[in-house]
Amino acid sequence: VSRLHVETTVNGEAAEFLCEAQENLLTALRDRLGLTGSKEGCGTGDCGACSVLLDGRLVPSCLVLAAEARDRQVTTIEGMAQGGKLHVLQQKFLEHAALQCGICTPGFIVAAKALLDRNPDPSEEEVRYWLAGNLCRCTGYDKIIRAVLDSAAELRKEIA
Amino acid sequence: MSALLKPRAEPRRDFKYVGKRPVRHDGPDKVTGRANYGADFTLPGMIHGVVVRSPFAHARILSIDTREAEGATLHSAAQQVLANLGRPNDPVITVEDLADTTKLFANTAIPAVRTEAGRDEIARAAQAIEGRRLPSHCSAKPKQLGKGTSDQR
Repeated sequence: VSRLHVETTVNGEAAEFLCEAQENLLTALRDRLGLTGSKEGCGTGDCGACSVLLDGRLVPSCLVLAAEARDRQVTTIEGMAQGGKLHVLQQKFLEHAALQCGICTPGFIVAAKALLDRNPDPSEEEVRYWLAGNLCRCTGYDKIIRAVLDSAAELRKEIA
Repeated sequence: MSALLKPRAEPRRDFKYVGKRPVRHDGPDKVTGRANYGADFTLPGMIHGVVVRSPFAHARILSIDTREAEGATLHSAAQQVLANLGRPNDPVITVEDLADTTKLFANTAIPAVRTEAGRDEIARAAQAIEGRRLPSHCSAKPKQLGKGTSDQR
């Protein structure tokens, strides 16, 4: 049995795990590192529930090999709240009731963070296009879009 | 008018939740990824299972390669579940039983299970079922009933 030893950085902290060559990053995060916040919805890159950031780039972790995380920065939903304080996106999702069952929520929040990191003032259309790769089957998208737009406004206020 | 139906003189307006927008109580766990769903649990001795669905509406299972999928484990697991439900005497259908079934319908579920295996191994085990397609029971053209050819998969 030849497993791969992968040293990486997850949410700013050094992490390492042994994985199969064909194992995907989502499995490594969930089963090897115990970070079950990223969800498996489809396993084929269609639903966005497993969204994470790899060196700041938004990726579906089910389509990334675990070994590809070697020497790179992985950001998951578990790394969003800082020092016990919710990220603005997390707070706004709560305020706008932008979740019900919550399976898609981590993916939406991580994806929205990737958007706001590169565009602090997106239009509604830009938000809708950016989040088109994330599927929600209970709340509907309107509240999610509003939560993201409100988060963007809030973050701009904090910077100003 | 009965006393029950009589409107209150002053409608109550000081509700704690009615008319308010409270943050859902499970919200913080869900937005932080802390919430534990069924698939998020790991327990000692946990076994994994997958559901394999027949790609054909009518087919016969020719063989099941049980080297990867252990029917015995499934059997004991199923018995355990029934025991926990207080129905220890209910019959348990095994993969061997299923192999005798001639009528598989579209999306018929065939169980496969393996202990201490990762999901990738389970997925491979799930592919170890061979089958043969049988002629359709019904057809848009009734005259053709029984004339279909069986395709070797």
